[in-house]
This record gives sequence, structure tokens and C-alpha cells, in this order.
Amino acid sequence: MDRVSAPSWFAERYPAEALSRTLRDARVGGFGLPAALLGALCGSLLAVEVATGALLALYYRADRDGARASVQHVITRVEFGELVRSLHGWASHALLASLFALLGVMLAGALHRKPHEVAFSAVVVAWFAALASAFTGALLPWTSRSALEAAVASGAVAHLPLVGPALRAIVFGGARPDLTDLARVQGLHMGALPALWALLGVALALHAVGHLAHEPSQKGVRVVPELATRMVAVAPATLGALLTLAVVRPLGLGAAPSAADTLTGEARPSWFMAPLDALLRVAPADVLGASGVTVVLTLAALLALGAVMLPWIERALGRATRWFGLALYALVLGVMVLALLR
Amino acid sequence: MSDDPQHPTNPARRRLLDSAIALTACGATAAVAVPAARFALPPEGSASASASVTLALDELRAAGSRLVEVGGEPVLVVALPDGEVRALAARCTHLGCTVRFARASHEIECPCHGARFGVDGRVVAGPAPAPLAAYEVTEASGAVVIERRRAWTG
Repeated sequence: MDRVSAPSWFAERYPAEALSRTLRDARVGGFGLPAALLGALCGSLLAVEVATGALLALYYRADRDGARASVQHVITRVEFGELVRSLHGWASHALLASLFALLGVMLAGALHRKPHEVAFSAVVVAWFAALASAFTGALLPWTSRSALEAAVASGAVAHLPLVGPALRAIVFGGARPDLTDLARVQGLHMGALPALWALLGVALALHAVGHLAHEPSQKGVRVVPELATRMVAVAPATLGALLTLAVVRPLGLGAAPSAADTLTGEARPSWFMAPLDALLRVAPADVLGASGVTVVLTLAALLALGAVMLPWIERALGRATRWFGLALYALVLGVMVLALLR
Repeated sequence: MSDDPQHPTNPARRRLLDSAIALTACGATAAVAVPAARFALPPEGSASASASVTLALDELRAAGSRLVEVGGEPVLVVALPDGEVRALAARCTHLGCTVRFARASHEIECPCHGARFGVDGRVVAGPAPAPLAAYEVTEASGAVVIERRRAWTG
């Protein structure tokens, strides 16, 4: 029997050499370079999310009475439990921030225009998916804050025209947020959203490789090996930074939902919920005969749809709207900062 | 038109085929999406909900307030210092958070966005667009019975 080395065994089955040859003349410059590195950062964070999430799922109990206790068990009894949970939480926060930064870089570098429209829309959808993942993840321990966020989100979603009540039933299992069905939330957090992530990841990877192979640039750094090396280096750097955060600032577990007849003062939502929460707080009770909450949420939904469709909106409306994307980005950033400073 | 004389192309037939493929794809997508969406919607609840709740008056006065469930809806029962007992729908009319009684201010407050209501259900402050609905309260031999919602009379 012939002896086969491990590298040649893998090379025969996973011919990365062919990909390397395809990208031999490709270069990336301008805003493409930070976009590629931020993409690698998001991929690394997602890998940490999947790995730590799979470990946490081994202990999680999806019922309102046992959920918090199961998370507490992980933190206090399971070896490295607090570290794994903190890594999961910090990676989630970092993923939201990184995707938002990636959107900013793509807009600044006009990487949302032809032929990158679908890639830009995929990143916008990925950001909303990251928000949904962070939200459902915050509900799973069913702490006092989880119950509050379930109540606010459930009440808000129900105000959306046409789809609101059905969406609330699908996410929360009914109209009573205090009876939120955590098995549904778990299904979304660990099943539907990761499936969406996988689809978006494949779409973005195919776009990046296909585009680089099809239109090799003469400027910037070479994709192989310079950019590839930097992108690979992002993974250990990300893990190191997350480990440091998880050790220095471990994520605690909030209090159990308070007794129903005890007023504990006004609670604050998670930071990623703060902008929507602030808008709901200032929404007038009535706008031209319609509920203020309905108007605010409908506008927010239209803005979200506008962000996904931005490349095509810009193209349809012409040069006058070329700063529309950056203005929309600045608006979202401004609302986020104001809501967090409140 | 194709340049290949062996395989002539008929534009009308091509359009018909394209339309048929598009229709089939839409039908197949709907055939998967509709049952999936119907499956995701939870069935209507069948649990029987109690139409009235009885509370011991002494215990209620000692606690100041209690949260109970009447007809499947949360209801806040408040014992006022003058001896009167009020029962109000406990879901804030802003976004549906569960409201609580603040003994210090004698107001009902929502922890989500700071809406405040009087013990008669009227909106005192905050973003709530409507008052809390009141429930019938009957006192008899050391107990209070809370039943059915009554129209808010303003």
C-alpha cells in the first residue's frame, strides 16, 4: 500500500490549488481591502457563535420555569461554562458591530453598486439576521430583561399592518408575551436563523470569488497570498480578542422575572434594542387617526426594505440619490448613538 | 434566432416554455411555503380560563395589590387606603407590558416605557394612548370577587 502524506490526501480531495490558480492575477484595492477583512472578521465571529452555541445548547432547557436555571447551571457548575457563554455573548455583540461597519465601508466605497448589488443586499439582510439572533438569544435565559423585551417586541410587532399578529404568533407562540413559548424562540435562534446565515455566507463567498476571478484588478494587494494571509490571520486575532473580553468582562445572568406585583422601576432594554425602544417611547399616541406605534413601525419597516433595495432604488432614481445610502446610514447611526446616550 | 440550422429556435415556444417554468416554480414555492407558514402558526388555545377570581380581603390589603388572571387576561387588583378595591386590566395600552401598582405614588406604572395611570385607569403620563379597562369588583364576607370587564366610563 502506498504511503500518502496528509497534505497530498487533502489536496486531492479539496483542490484549493485550483482556486489559488484562478485567483493568481486577482488584486484587491481601495475599499475592497477593508471590506474583505471585515468580511473575514464576520466569518470568524460567526464560527465562534456556532461553536459556542452548539455547546450551550447541550444544557439549555426551553421552558420559562427552567430556562434561567439551566443557564445558571452552565455558568456555575459546568467547566468553562461562564467562558463559553461569555464568548457567545461577546461574539454576538461584535458581529452586530462588524456587520454595521462592513455596511459603512461598502457604502463609502460604492460597493453597493453594480456588480455588487446582491452582495450589499445580502449584508443588509445579514445585519437584520444578526439583530434577530441577538434578540432571540437575549430571550432564551428568560430573565427579567428577557420578559421585558418579549413584552415590548410582542406588543410592537402586533402593530405592524397585515403581518403583525401572525408574526407575533409565529415568534412568541401567542398574544401573551408573559407566556412566550421559548421552544419557538429556541427554534428560530438555533435553526431558522443559522440556516439563513449559511445561505447568505454561500451567496457572499460565491460573489467574492466569482467577481475576483472574472475581473482581475491591476491595483491593490494580491489576493493570493497577501490578502488570503491577512484574512486567515483575522481568525486567531478575533478569538484572542474575544477570549480577553470574556475573561475580563464575563457576561452575568440577569435577575429572574420579578414578582408580578412588585414594581422594580423602569427597566432598560439591551443596547441593540435601544433605538427601536427609544422610537416607540417618543411615538405620539395618534398620528392622523392611526396609532403612533403603527406609524413608527411601518416607517421603520419601509426604511429596512429601502436599505435592502438601496442599490436598485439609487439606480432607478439617478445621480440625485447617490448620497441617499450614506444619509440613511448616518441616520441609523445617529439614532443608535442618541438612544444609547439617553 | 439560433444560427444552428440543426436546432432552430421558435421564440413563441421559448416564451411559452419560460412562462410554464416560472409558473411551475411559483406553484412549487407556494406548495412548500403555505403549509410551512400554516404549521408555524400555533393552533387556537383550548385551555379553559377562569371567568372570575376570589381574593381574601385581608391578604389583598396587606399586599396592596395582586396580579390575577380573569378570563385569560391579567388583571391588577389594588386595595386603596380608603378601603376601596379596584380591578384594572394589567396590560399597558401602549405595547401590552404588564403594569404594576406603585404604593408610594398610588399610581399604576408600566416598567417598559414609563406610562402612568391613575387607580381609576386614566392615563396620567407617558405614551399610553388609552386608559386601562376596569373589571367588576364585588365585596362579600371578607373577600372580593373580580369578574368580567366593564366598559370604561371615563
